[in-house]
Amino acid sequence: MSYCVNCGVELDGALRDCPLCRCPVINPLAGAAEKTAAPRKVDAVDSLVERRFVAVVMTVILVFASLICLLIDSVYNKRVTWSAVVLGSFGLTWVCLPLALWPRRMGLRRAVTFDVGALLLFLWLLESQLEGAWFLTLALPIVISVTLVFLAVSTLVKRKALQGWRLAAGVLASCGLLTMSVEGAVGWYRVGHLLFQWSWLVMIPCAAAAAVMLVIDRKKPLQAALARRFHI
Amino acid sequence: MTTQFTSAFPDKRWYALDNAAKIYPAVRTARWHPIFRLSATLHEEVDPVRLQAALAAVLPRFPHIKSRLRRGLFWYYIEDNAGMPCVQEDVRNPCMVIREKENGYFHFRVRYYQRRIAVEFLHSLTDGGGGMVFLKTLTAQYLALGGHPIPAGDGVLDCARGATPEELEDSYKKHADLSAVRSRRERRAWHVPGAREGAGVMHLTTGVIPTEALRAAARERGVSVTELLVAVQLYALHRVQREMTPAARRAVKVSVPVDMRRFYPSKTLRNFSLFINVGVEPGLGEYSFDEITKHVHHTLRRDVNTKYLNSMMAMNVSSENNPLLRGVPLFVKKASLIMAYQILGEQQFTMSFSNLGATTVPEAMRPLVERFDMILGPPRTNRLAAAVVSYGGVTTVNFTRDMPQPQVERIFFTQLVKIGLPVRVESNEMGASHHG
Repeated sequence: MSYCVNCGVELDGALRDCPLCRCPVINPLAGAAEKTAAPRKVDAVDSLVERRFVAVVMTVILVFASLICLLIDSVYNKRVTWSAVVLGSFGLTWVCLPLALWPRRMGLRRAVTFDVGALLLFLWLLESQLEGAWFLTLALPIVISVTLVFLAVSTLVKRKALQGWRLAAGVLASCGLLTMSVEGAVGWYRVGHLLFQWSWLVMIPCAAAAAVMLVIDRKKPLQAALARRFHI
Repeated sequence: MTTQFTSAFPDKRWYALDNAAKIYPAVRTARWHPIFRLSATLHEEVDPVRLQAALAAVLPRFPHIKSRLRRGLFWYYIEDNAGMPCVQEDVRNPCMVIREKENGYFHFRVRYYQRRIAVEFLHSLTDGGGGMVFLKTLTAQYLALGGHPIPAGDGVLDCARGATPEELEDSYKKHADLSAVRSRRERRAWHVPGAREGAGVMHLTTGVIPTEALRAAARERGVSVTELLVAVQLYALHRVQREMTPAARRAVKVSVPVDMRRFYPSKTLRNFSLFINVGVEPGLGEYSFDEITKHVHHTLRRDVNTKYLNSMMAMNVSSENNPLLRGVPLFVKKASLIMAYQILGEQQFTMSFSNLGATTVPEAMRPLVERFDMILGPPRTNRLAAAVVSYGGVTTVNFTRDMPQPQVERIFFTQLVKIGLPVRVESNEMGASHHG
């Protein structure tokens, strides 16, 4: 018989290491290894069949719908007109749903990157089909700034740099920044240069509240005093 | 509930599922079934041909197990299954999904390996108490076919007789006093964090402890064996919580199944158990092992009594009797059952810890059976479950784990060693083959 030097438990003769701590079994006095206690055969369980099945079904449906729209548009208009927008929206749907279902773990940031790429392509397609020049001056800056802020906050949360009061401060500061970036992009689109008229009214209180929260985060006695005075 | 016969088909029997069983078919997924397993280890190698013959002789005695699960318009139900399942070679990862078609539409399977006979049940058919009667009767029949006649008694049924209505009744409905109803809502519990294992991977760690030493350790602390083991389990989870998520404020809770046959004059072989959740609040500070032992002792003594258990049982039965719920078609009801299972089930506890207690067999069977084991299948949401059974001077604790890290079992078994109990550990070595 062998004992785990780390856990103090007696180990079954068939074990090569302790199942509790992975410490290898070293017993020079032990005889030949006993017959294995656990069966060799393993019950197979279907892996990820549901996600892949759903992804395949949705892909097939979207491809068929796209082909039918393209066919009808080509027959009646003799060229691709409205069906380009429908195809673009189907493409966006495909990227946002089935592609996210396909791999086992895509990760939030990678999924968001794919989705934002598809959204930008779709917006560019819309601009090319409709009249106006709003993609580069309006849509692109807004989408990019929202995405960057989201990715930055989610990365900091994942690395545990933003937690508790700091997370609240980060979210508030992000709201202020996003408001300014949206107004800036709208100004660029309308008058050709950055224009900040009302977004300061949002940014200043957001920044002030975020600064207060950062201070609270650093001062433990202040946190305790606030908890005492404002407890519910 | 008694046996129901349809007038058009007097020989065709069907049974409404009992109160506890109703939820299980609805919460199954393609990769997870609520399954538990009971096994008997003999002193001789198991002969599969003889085991198949024993199964054929025993199965008609248990009509609720010799059944097929069907969908009705409003509820699932079970009906007689005319076939006979084949015994199967055992596997390294038990309690995986039962593929209905491949298993002849039976919802249990009998497995053998070296000296072991194991039966895996879908929880809709029976609970640990009823399952143990089936396993003992099957094992006794197997031994009888090998020239060791075993008389009925001590959980071994006489296969020459038919099932009685009492054995097939829904004891929840029969015994629930609906005048006292208690809400099942509890605060959400802390859950062990970490990635789940891939499909088909299930770690099984078994601890074998001398029962007499365990009883002496419990007696020394003025608690029962179940209370001591639950306290060790709670202490292990509390320690893991403080190591992994020191800022966590959700309670660590262990769900302890209670065999209701101890409290009511029931002979049912179907489900008749309830769950008591016992836990500690990490927000109150760090608990020592002795504090947790006292806490578990007082909580279980307060809650495990007929009045408290009846109020829980009455709530379950009155929910089932609710005309609004009953009248809803099954496909709609399924969604609410899944939600109820999550909110009122696994969300409320960190892990299950089932103690089947000391099991006995007829005198003639004792020299032929070495030990019994109980294994709970991997839970749907939680990562861990444990089951205990005592027989022949040894108590076996089987941990089922659906995550790579074995910290909880490690603290559990090393704590038993610290309080002076010798523990022998076995494993299915799923980690060794899958993680190098």
